[in-house]
Amino acid sequence: MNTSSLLPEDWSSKIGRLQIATKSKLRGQHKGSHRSMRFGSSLDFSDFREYYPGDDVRQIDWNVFARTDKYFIKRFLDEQEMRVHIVLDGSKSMKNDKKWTLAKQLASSIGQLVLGRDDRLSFALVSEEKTIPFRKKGAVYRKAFSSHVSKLSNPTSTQMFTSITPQHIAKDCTVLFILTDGLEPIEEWEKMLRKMPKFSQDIRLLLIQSSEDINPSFTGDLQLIDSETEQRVNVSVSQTILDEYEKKRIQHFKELDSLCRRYGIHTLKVETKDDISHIFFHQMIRANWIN
Amino acid sequence: MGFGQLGFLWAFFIPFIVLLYYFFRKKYRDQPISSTLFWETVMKETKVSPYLQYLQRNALFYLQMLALILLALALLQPYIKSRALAGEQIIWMVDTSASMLAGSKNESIFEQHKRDMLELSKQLEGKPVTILTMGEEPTILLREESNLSKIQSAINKLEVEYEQEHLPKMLDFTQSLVKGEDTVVYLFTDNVDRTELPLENERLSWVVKGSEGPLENVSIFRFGANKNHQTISALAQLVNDSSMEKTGRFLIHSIDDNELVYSEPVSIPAKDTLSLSMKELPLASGLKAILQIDDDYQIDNESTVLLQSHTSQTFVDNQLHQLVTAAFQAMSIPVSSVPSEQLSDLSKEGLIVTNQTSLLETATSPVLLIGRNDEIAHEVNGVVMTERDDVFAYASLDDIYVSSLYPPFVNYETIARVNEDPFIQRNQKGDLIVLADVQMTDWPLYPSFPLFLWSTAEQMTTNSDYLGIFSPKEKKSISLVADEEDAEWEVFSEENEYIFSVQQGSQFTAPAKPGIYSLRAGDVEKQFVVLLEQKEKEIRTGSSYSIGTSTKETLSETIQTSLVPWFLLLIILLLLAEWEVQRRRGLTN
Repeated sequence: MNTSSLLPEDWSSKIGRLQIATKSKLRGQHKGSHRSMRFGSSLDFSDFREYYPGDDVRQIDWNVFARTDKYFIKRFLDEQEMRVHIVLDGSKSMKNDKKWTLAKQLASSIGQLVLGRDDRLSFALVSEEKTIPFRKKGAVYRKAFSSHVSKLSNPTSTQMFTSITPQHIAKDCTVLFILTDGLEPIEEWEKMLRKMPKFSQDIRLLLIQSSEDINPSFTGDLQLIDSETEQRVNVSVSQTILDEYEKKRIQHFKELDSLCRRYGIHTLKVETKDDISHIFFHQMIRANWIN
Repeated sequence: MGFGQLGFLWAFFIPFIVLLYYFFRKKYRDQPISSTLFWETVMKETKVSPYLQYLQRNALFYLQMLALILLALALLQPYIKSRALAGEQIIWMVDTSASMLAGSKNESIFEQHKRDMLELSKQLEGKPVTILTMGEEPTILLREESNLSKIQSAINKLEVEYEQEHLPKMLDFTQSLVKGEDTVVYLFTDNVDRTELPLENERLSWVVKGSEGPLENVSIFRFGANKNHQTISALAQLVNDSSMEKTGRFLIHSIDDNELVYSEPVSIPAKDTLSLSMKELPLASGLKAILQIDDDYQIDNESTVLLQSHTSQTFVDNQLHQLVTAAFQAMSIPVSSVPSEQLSDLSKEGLIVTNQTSLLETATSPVLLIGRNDEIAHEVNGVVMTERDDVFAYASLDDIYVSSLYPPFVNYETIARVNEDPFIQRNQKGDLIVLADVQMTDWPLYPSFPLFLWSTAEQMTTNSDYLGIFSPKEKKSISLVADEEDAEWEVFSEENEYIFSVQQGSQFTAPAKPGIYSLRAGDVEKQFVVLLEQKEKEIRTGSSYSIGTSTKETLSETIQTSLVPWFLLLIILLLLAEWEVQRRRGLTN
C-alpha cells in the first residue's frame, strides 16, 4: 500500500496551503515557523522596553540611546515550533474497512499538514503491542510519515482504547488529535477525558463513525458479536429494536459531547460515507480546526 | 390391543411441546459488529424487567421451594368434591316396548328417557353402569361399563323393539345381576306400581322414571276378518282411552293392491269402545285397517289381518298306537282321539291321522296315513334314505330300523325309502303316507319321530304361502327348507326392504316392527304379519319416583376425586424445570 492509494493524488498540494489553527500558547523549545507569545529572535519587531541591569546588552538599541540618552531594549517576536500529537484508536472496533481507511487518511493528512509547516509531529497507534511512535519534524519527513501510516496493519487491540490511551500521549503538545470511533462506555470516556487537559490545551476528538454503525443494514435473527470483547448478543432485528438502538446511540454521543465540553475538548464527527476532501475543506475548516 | 383411557390422549402434546421447542428454537446468524454497546442495552431492556431478572437469578430457589410445598400439599391428599350418581353398582333397565313410542307431539317417552340417560351418564363420574333392555329375553347392552363414550353411544343406539316389556321377569333377572354392593336400579319405563317392585333386598334401591303427563290414545283394539264365499266380513273394535270424545276416520285397505275398500268417519266417546262391522268387502288375501285420528300414540292406529285357513285341530284315529298321540302331545300340539268310524264324517277341518286308506280319497282335510289297513306288509331289510323335503328339516331318519313295509301307492311321490322300497310317500293333495305301522319300526323311540309329526302337522295345516301372525320378536320354530341347497331365507318388509336372513334350521325370530313381511328364498315367497300385542295397545302414564333403603332417598352422592396424581405431575414438571435451570447455569452457580 502506498500513499497514492490511501489519498487522492494531488492531495498534498491541495492541503499545502492549510495549517492547523490553534489558540494554544504552548509551544516547543525549538525554533519553528509559528509566532510565539514570547519574545525571541525573529525578524518581526515587537516593541521597546527600558533596560534593566541583567538584560542582554546586545539588545540595546543604540539609536534610541543616541536620541534620548536612555537605554532601551528593542524586542522582536519569537517564532517557535508547534507540537502536534495524533493518537489513533487501534482497537478492533476500528477494524471496519471504511472506518480504518478514513482514520488513516485523516491521520496522514493531518500529519502532512503539520510536517509541511515544519512543525513537530508525533503519532501513536493505541494498541496493546508497543509500536515505535513516529516523532519527526520538518517537511522532509512528509513522505516517511505517509508511508508509516499506510503501512499500519489492521487494528488488533482488544483492550479498551480509553484505558490505554494516556500511555501513548506525549506531554506538552500544542494540539492533540484523538482519532477514534467513540464506541466505549461513557464512564470509561469520562475517566480518560478527565486526564486529558494536562496533556494539552487544545484537544480535538475526531469521532469516526461508519455508516453501518449509524444505520445497521442487517435484519432477521442475528447473533451480534462484539469485535473487541467477543460478546454475543442475540437480537431479532425489528423496527422497534432499531429505533431503540438509534436512541441509545444518539444518547451516547450526546453524553460524550457534553463530557468533552466540560473538559474543553473539541469534537468533530465524521462519517465514512463522506469524502476526505469534504471533511477537510468543509467540516474541519468550519469547525475552525484548520485554516 | 386396546386403550383403557383414551381420554389421556391429550398427554401426547407434552412430548410435542418439547419437540416444538427444539424445532422452533431461534437460529441466530452470526454478525460481527463494531460494538454491541448499544445492542446489549436494547436486548436487556426488552428481555427482562428488574423483577423478572430477580426471579431469574433465584429461579432454582423458587422452583425448589414450590416443588417442596407441592409435595407437602400432595401428602395432605387433597381432593375435590363432586356430585355423582349414588350406588356402587348402577343398573339401567330400559323399556323398549312399543308403548314407549307414545308421547306428546315433539318427543316420545322413549326419546325423553334417552335424553335423561345421557344427562345421568354425565354424573356417573366413572362408576360402572349396566344397561339392559327389557323384553321376552333381556338384552344386556353394557355390563359394568365405565367408559363414558361407550355408554353414550350405547344410549344413542337404543331403539324401540315393540316387544312387551315382561316386567316381572325382568325384575327377577335384574336381581340376579345384583352383587353385594349398594345397587341402584333405574327403570326407564312408562308406569310401574310400587307394589310391583321387589323390595326385600336391603341393598337395592329403585329409581323409576315414568312417563309424565296425560297422554291421549285411541287404538284399533281388535281387527278381524272372515272369508264368506266370495266376500269378506270384518269386525273392528276401536277403543278411546282419553277423557274426551275423539273423531277421525277408519279406513281399510286391501294388502294385495293397497286399494281402499272401506272408509268411514268415526266418533268415539271418551273412555268408550266403538265396534264396527263391515260386510261384503271385496275378496283379498289380507286387510289393513288404519285409524286416522289425532292422538299421542300412533303405532296402534294400524292393524293388519291375513285371511288364512289355519287349522289347528289334529284328529288321531284311536286304533293307532298310543305312541302317535303321545308324540303329538310331546310337541304341544292339541290332539283329539276319535273313533275310526267317526273320522269320515268330521265336520271341522283338521289334520287326520289314521291307517284307513279310504280316507285319502274321501276326507276333505289333510290326512297323515300311518300304515295301511287294506294291504299286508312284507319284510324289508336295509337303510332308510330320505329325499330333500320340508318334513325332514328337523328329523333325521338315518338310524331307524324298519322291519316291514306295506306295498306302495303307484304314482305317489316317494320321499323316503328303505333300500328301493318306498317308505314315506306324498300324494297330489299333499297328504303323507307312512307305509309302516308304528309297531313295525323303532322310529317312535327316536326324537326324530315327534319332530317329523310336528313338521308334518305344520306343513299340512298351514297354508304354505302364509306363515301366520307373530308378535314382535316372537321366536318360533318353522320348518323351512329352501329349494336350492345354498339359498337362505330372507326377510323383506312391506316396502321390499331387506331386513335379515334366517339361517337354515335355526329358530325363526320375527322382526320387531309391526307390519306385513315376506320371507323369500329363491322363487318361494311366504308372507307373515307382525302385530302389536294387545297389552301394548294401551298406554299408561305413571309418575317418576324412587324407593330404596340403601341410599335413603338421595339419588346423588358426593364423591371425592383425589388430586394427588396432578400434584405429582406438577412436581415432576418442576423437577424438570429445575434440571433445565441447573443445566444452563452449570453446577457452580
